[in-house]
Amino acid sequence: MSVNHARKILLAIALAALCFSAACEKPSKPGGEPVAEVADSTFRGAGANVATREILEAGARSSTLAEIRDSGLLIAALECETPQLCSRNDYGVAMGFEVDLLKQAAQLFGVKLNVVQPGTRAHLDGPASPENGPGASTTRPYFYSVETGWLSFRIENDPAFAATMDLVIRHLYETGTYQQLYNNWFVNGNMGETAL
Amino acid sequence: MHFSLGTGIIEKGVNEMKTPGKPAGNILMKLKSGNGTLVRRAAAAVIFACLLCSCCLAEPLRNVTMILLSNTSGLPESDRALTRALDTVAAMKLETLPNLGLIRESEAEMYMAPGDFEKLWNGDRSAVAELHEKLYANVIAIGRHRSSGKWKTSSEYRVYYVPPDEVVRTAQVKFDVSASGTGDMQRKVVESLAGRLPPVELAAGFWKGLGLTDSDKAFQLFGEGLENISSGREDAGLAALGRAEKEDPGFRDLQFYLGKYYATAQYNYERSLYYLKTIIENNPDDCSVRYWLGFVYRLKGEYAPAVREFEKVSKIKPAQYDIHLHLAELYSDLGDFDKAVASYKSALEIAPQLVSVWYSLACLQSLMGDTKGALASLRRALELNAEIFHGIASSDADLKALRELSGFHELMEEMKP
Repeated sequence: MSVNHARKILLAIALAALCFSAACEKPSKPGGEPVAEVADSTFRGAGANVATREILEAGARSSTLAEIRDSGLLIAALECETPQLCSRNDYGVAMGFEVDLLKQAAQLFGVKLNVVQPGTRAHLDGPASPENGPGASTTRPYFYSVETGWLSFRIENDPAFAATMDLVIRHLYETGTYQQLYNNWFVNGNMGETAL
Repeated sequence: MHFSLGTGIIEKGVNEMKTPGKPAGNILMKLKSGNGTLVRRAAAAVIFACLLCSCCLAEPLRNVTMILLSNTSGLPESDRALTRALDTVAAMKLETLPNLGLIRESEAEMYMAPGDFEKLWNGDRSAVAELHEKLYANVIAIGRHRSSGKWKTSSEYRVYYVPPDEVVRTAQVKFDVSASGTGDMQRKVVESLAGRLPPVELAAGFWKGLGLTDSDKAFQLFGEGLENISSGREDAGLAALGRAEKEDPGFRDLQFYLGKYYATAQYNYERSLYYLKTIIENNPDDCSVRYWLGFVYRLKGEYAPAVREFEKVSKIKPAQYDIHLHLAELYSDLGDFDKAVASYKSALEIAPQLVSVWYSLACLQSLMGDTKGALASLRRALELNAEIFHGIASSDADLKALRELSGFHELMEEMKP
C-alpha cells in the first residue's frame, strides 16, 4: 500500500469516526441541555382531548377543578349500596351507572376517578336529594326514577365546579352518552353480563 | 423500523462492520497488509467506536408516531385548498401502515399557539421539542403544495425526526409531481412523500383497498371545505364538503373526514357512525375506520361494540399501543380485569416510556390483590416521572392495598421527588 493510499484510508476512517461519534451524542435541546426522557403526565382517556377545552374554559373559575387537575384525581364519595347505580364487585371495585357517569366526567377533565366511602374527603358526594331554597345550587341532579326520585351530586363551596358538572352532564346527555350508559345498566342488564 | 436519515450511512457502516465477509472485512485485510501501524490502530479505534455506537443507536422502532401538518400561510386560495386536501389524504393513507400511528392535526393544534406553525416551518427547535414532548411524536412533518398545472404539483415538507435517544434531525423534502388524473396525483404525492421519509415504507400492495377520488371537482371542493373549516368557517366548509359528496358519493377520504369531524367537533356520534359504517360496508378491512368506530362507540358509552372493533384492529395493527390502551380501559370498565392487565402490558411492550400506563397497571394490580406486581409497576412509574405520580400515588384510593405494606412506604420514600 502506498503512503498516499494509507493517508486516504486514514482520512476516511477519521471522517467515519466523526460520524459515529455524532451518532453517540446524547439528545439535547437547542441550548445544549439534555432533553428529558419522554414521559406523559396526564391520563389520556378516550374523551380527554374531545371536550376538555370546552369544559375547562367553563370551569376556569373553579378552585376545585384546579385542584382536581393538579392532583390528577376526581374523588367522589358514593354510597355504593344500590346495584346498577353503584355497588362493589368481588375485587371491591365500584361499578354502576353513577361510576360510569363520573368516569366520563373524569375523562373530560383528563384525570382519574377515585370512588371512596361516604364521609371521606371528596370533591363531590352522592347520591343526595336535591335541596330547595338556599344552597340548592350546590346540588346537581343526574338521575331520576320513580323508586329513587331525583338524585343529585352534592358539591360544597364551589358554585363554579357545580356549574361545570352541570355542563358535563348536559354534554353527556346531548351527545347521547348519558342515555347509552343508562341503557347499559338499566335496560340491557348488568354491564358485567353484557356479552362481548 | 429505525431512523436512517442522517444515521443511514452510520447504520449501514455498523452493519457492514459486524458482518464477516462484507467489505469491512476486506478493508481490514487491506489494512493488515498495508504499511501503516497507525492505520491499523485507527481502524481498531473506529471499529470499537462502531461497536459502542451500536449500543447507543436506537433499537429499530417498532412503532413510529407521526404528525402531519399543513402550512398554508402565504399561499393563494386555490393552493391552500390543494395543500389541505393533499395532506389530509396523505395522512389518511399513511396511518394505515401497521407500524405508524398518526396524530390528528386537530389534536396537534390543541397544543399549538397561533404562530407555532410558522415557527415549525422556520425550524424553531424549541417548538419541535415542545410538540414532541406533548404528543410523543417521533416524526413531525409540515407541508405545503402548489399547483403548477393540471394534475401537477410542487410539494415541500419540513421534517423533524425525534427518535428516542437521538438528536433532533431535520430535513427538507421537495418534489414535483406530474400525474394523469386527480387520483394519480394523490397517489404520486403520497408515494413521493413516503419515499423520502425513511421511517415510512410502502410495501407492495399498499394501495389495495385504499380508494382515491378521481373526480377533479370533488377533490377541489374537499380542499375548499377543509380550508374553510380550518379557518373557522364551519358552515361554508360543511357546505363545500356536502357538494363534494354529491360529486363523488364513494369518496372514502371525505366520508372518513366527516366521520371524525362529527364525532370530535360536533359530538354528533350518530352522524359520525353513519359515515364510518358506510365506509366499512364498502371495505370491511379498512382498519383506520374500524379504529374510529371503536373510538366513537367508546365515546358513546357502547363498550361492547367498541371492544369488538378495537380487537379487530389490534390484529391488523398490533404495534399501535393506543389500541391496547383503549382495550385496557374498556375491559376495566366492563369488569374484565385480567384482560385489562394483559392489554396494559401489551401497550407497555410497545411503548415502555408511557408513565400513566405503568401507573394505571399498578392501580389495577393493586385492586386485584397482586401487590408484588403493583409495587413493581408503581416503581417503574415513579422512576419515569415521580414529580407527577408521587403525589397522585400518595392519595390514590386504588392503591389502598399497597399502603398497608412497608414496601410501599419504602418505595415512596426512595422515590420522593
